[in-house]
Amino acid sequence: MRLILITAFVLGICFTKNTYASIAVIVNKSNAVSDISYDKLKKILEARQQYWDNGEKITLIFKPITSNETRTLIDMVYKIKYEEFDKYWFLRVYNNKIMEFPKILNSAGTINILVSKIPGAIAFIGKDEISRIDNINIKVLRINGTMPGEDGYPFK
Amino acid sequence: MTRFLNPIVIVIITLLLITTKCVYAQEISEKEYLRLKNRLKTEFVQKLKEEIKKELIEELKTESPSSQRKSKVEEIKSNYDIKQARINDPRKETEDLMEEEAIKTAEQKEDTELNKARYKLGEGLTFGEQLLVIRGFGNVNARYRDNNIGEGFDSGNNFFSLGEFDLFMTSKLSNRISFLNETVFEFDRGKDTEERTEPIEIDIERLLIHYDVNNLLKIDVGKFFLPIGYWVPTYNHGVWFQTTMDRPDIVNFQDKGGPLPTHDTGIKVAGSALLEGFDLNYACAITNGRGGNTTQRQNFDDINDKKAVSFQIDVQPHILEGVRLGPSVYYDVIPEDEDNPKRENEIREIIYGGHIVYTIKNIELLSEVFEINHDEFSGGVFNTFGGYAQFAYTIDKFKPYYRYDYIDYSNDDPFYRNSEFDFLDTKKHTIGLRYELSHFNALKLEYSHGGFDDKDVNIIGFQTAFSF
Repeated sequence: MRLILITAFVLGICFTKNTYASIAVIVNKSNAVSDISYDKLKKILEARQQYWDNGEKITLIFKPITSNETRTLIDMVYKIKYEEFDKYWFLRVYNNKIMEFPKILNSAGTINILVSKIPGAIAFIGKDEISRIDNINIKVLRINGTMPGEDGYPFK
Repeated sequence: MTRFLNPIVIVIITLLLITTKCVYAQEISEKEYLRLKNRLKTEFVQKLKEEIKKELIEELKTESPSSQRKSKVEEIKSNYDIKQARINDPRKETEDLMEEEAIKTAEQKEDTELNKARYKLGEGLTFGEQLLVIRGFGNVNARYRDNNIGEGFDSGNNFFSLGEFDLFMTSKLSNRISFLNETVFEFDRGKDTEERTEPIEIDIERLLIHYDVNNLLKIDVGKFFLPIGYWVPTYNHGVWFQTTMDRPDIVNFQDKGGPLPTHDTGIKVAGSALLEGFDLNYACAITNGRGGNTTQRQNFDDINDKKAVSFQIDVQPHILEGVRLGPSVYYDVIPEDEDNPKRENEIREIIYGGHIVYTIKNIELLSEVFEINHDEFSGGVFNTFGGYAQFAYTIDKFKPYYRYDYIDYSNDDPFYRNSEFDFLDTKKHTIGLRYELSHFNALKLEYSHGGFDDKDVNIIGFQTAFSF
C-alpha cells in the first residue's frame, strides 16, 4: 500500500504541469488594434516594439511580480527567473533601450483607470477581472483571433 | 490560547449576527430587534465577565509586582470598557467597518486622481510631475596574485580595493524625451606612484538627452557608450550586471589600459526594424574621436576637425530565440601627440568588430572579436587582434562561468607603445562562481591564469557587487 502511495506521489510530481493564470490583455478603447498576433504581443512585451502602428507610444502595465498573471508572462514570454524580472527591465533602462520601467500596479481598479486614460497603454489582468473593467473606455484584445477562454487562446 | 478560543468564536458569531441584523434591521420590527439585542447583550456580558474574572484571578495568583498587576488589570478593564461600549451599541461595529471602508475608498480615489493628473497632459509633464530617478552601482574587491605584471607598479600582491561608485540618473522630460547621466567616482593609484596620493577621480561617463521618435529612430545627443560590439553598449559600468568580476581585457576602459574607445561625445542615432524572420537593430554615432593618446578625452572640443564614425548592426533571428549577432566598424583619425616626439603623425584608426551572443533561460554565451588597424599615413601599418569567449550557466542562485581572453598587439604600434599603460599580449583563462546573495547583491569568486607577454600570473579574486 505504501509503495503504491509513494509511486502515485512520484508520478504526480512528474506529470504535474505548471499551472498558468488565464490572462486577458486590455487596451484603451481608442486603440485601433482589436486583434493581435502572439508574435507581435511578444515583441511588445519584450519592448522590442515600443510604438503602436498609429505612432502612439506603448505603455506596459503589469500586476506585481507576485501575481499569477505576471508570473505566467515571465514563464511563457520572458523565460527568465521571477527574481530576474526587475533586472531584465533595469538593464534595458541602463542601456537606454527604454526610457522608464513598465508600470507595476497592485489594484485592478487603478489598472482600469490608467488604461482608460493612456491611449497607448496595454495591461495584463486576470480573465476573471474582465467583468470589472470600464467597458466604455477599455477593450479586451483578441490574440490570434481568440478571446480569453476560447480554444487556441495562448494565455489560458 | 485555547481557553480564549471558545469565547472568541462566540464573540465573532455574535458580532456577525448583530451586524447582519443591523444591515437588515428594517426588515424586522423594532420590538423584535430590541428583544434580540437585550438577549445577546446579556449573554455576551456574562461571558465577558466570566472571562475577565478568570484572568484577574490568575494574574493575582502570580508573583508579579503589584504595579504590573495593577497595569494589567487596568488594561483588561479598559478592553472591557471598549467591548462594553460596543455591546451597548451593536451598530457601532458596523459603523466602524463602514468608516474604515470609506477611508479606504477615499485613499483609492486620491491615488486614482493622482494617476489621472500624471497622465492628463498626454505627451508632456509638469514640473510637479517630473521625477528624477537615481540608481547606482558599487563593488568592493579582494585579490591575491603571485606575480606583478605591471612595470611601474609598486603595490603588493594581495590587497583589498574599492571598485567604482557609480550613480545612474534618469528623468523623463516628456513621453518621448529623456535625460540620462552616469557619473562614476573612481579610486585610482594616481600618476605619482611614489607619493601614493590615490585621488578620487570623478568621471561623467554618460550625459545625454534622448529623443525617442519611433521604433526606427532614437537619437542621443551628448556623451554615450559607443556602438562597438556587445559588451561596451550593454554592461559598461554596471559591474553588478556583468557575470564576471572584471570586463574582458579587449573591452577594458581606455583609462584602465583598454585598447578600444568606449565612450565619446557627439550624436548617435539608433533604431530597430522588426522584419519577417528577424529584428534588425542599428546604431550609428558621429563623435569627436580619440585624443592624442590612449587616455586623452575630448568631451569639450576636438583637437582635429576629423570626426570619428561608428556603425553597428545587431540581428536577432526569430528562429533562434536568444541569439544576437552582428558586425561593427569604427573609423577615426587620431591626432598627433604634441607632448610625444614619437607621435608626430596622425594615425588613421579602423576597428572592425563582430559579436555572437546567446542568452536564454539559464545559458549565457558571449563572444566578440576585434581587429584594430592603425595606419600612420607615413607608411607604418599596425594590426592588433583580440577577443573573448564567455560561458555561464545559472543553477538556482549560483552561476559558474568560464572566460578566455586573447589580445595580440602589433609590435611597435606607436599609439599603444607610447602610452602610460603597458599593452601586453594576453592569453588568460578565468573560471569563477557568481552567487546571488540577495536581489541586488552578488558575490563573485574567481581564479585567473594568464600569460601577459612572457609572464605567467595567477590571480584569485573575490568581489561583492551591488546595485542600490
